[in-house]
Amino acid sequence: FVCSSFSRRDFYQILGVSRSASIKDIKKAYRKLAMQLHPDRNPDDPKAQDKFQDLGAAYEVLSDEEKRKQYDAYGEEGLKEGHHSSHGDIFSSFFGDFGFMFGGNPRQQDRNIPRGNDIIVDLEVTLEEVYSGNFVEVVRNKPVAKVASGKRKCNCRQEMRTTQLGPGRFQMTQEVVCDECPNVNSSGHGTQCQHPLFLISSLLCPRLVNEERTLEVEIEQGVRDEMEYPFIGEGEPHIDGEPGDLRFKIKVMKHPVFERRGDDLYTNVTISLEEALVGFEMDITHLDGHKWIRILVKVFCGIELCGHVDSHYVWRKSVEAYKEKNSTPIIKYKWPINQVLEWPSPDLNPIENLWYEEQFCVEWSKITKESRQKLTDKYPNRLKEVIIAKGATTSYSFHFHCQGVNTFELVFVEFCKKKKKNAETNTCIFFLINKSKTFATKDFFLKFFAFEKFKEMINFRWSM
Amino acid sequence: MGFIQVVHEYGLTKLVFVLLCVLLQSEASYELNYVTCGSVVKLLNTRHNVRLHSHDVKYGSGSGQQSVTGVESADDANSYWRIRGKPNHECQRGAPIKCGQAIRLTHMSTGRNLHSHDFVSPLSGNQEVSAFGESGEGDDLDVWAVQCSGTYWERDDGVRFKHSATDVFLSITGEQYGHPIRGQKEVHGMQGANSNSQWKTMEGVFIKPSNEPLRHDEL
Repeated sequence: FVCSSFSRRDFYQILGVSRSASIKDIKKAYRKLAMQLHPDRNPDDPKAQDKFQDLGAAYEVLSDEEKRKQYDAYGEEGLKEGHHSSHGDIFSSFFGDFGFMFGGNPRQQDRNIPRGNDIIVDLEVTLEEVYSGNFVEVVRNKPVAKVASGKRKCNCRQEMRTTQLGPGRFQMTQEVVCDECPNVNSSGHGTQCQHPLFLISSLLCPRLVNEERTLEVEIEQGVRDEMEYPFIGEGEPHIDGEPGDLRFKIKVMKHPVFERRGDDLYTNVTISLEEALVGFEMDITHLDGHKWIRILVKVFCGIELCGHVDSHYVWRKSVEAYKEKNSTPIIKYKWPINQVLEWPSPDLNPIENLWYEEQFCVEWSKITKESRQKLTDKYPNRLKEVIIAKGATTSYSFHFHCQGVNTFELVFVEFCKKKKKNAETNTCIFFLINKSKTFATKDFFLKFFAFEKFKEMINFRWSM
Repeated sequence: MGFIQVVHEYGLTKLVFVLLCVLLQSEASYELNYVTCGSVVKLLNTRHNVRLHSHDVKYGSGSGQQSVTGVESADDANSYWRIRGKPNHECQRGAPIKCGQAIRLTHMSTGRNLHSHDFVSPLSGNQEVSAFGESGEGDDLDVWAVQCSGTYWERDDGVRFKHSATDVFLSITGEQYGHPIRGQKEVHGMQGANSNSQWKTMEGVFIKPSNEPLRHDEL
């Protein structure tokens, strides 16, 4: 009987949630506070029991849609009378039957008390759930040993007894002798019940009975793969002892878009050559459903491209408006790389005064005419005419400014094979060469492009 | 309302409730009627009153793989099976299983899948049913179709499991093993759906369906 003090309690305040809190928030708040406020954990606090009761009442009302509506409208006094689940039940649905381990204070391990088996259930969760947190409701149907008071007689048998009637006079009689057994039999079916009233009501002959309850499993925000959440006492029963535990093991499923490394999220983004060169805007849907702000890369400063310092700088600039703790998304550009189709004619002279580390080849014909035109249209000032060696058909040079890094120059050189008879298109090879000496080009290229190191060099003469 | 009155009213209500509880003990009032993906359950053969079971004991004949039996006890953790979709098919956590749906049953303690193949069962000469695979990964012979009437597999239903590759039904006909698994009954695959091939979920951890979608749209 709950004879609560009828002073008004602010259930929202007790749980520490806003009035518009979702059921998920409420469950999360309850679980966290229940661990803290449990009287066993606060033996020195005389008000601990009251605080704990208040917590249970708050959860009971706010977690039920109907009751919450009534409470919001009329306050605590306006709640209709109904069956109030004991706080014990609510507590058990989050932690199991026998209380819980107070982080470092394990359940009394009495070797004399046998224990039932533990059950480990794999719980598959999505990365979205890990990111935002969630609760999973499960129904646990388990056999419970309903032990009757006292024992029953079993293994009854006939034995010969000798009694002394007088000096030198003995009598042998037959007697029924029984052992004592506990009243429960593990099979749960048709136990040999010796209770005289058995025939009248099987309820009086206890055995294993199946019981059900709903459990709330929390998927904590940021939880790691393989983490276990135990529910004490919800495992398999043991007739002569304690039940084992039920443990949920988190299994994070692979996500099609994002990958978690530590507390960072990674995703691969495929972009076109033009986008890579001149920058792009993009919307990405984050794990919690809402879209990121656009990523403005005005200058060709891919995250990896500019080296670490600048990439972060650029990145931070872009996502200033969107602050997310524990998640620093990094975008890696994945440029479709094609094989080298042809090597330009061998009579080309090696490049003079051109310092390069590595080269990257892409089939120029795969880059559409429109894209090429766009580039030249968009950045006429950036183009420099280049005198090229015999064999090269065209070249373009781009200057790039990376915030905090010196200007560097990329040269695109195109070599096209002469048109064969009946051939549809030219086959061209495209070279991307970094001309700058101030840049760690090897890293630069390694991170950005996949490429082969070429043995032969190509000569160029530049006009400024 | 006076204090005394309140006590009386609540007291009476409580008494009535307790009585109701006692009367309802024998009936099952479920919060969840369906069997869902990801749930871990025990399966009872309704004709022979034994639960589907496996353990680290191999068949002495046939394939020599891990044996699958029927046991009488209700509190053995080795009788739990995890319900999963067929290989390479996503089965969303908490989604009710449809009648006719192809599933796998993975033995909780050993991680092996309920499996059947062209071997003879040791006692009755029917098709052998074993537990196969590692950490839940086996092959196409692990797939069974749930046969039931209606749309979804309900917890109260007697259902049958038809082996997708060989069309036999998961059955028990009563043959018993001797040492070292004395008393346990043989589980095998048999043609023909009858009372021997009917199963019902009993104890377990049943995952409730989620209210919200678990995933957002792709990039």
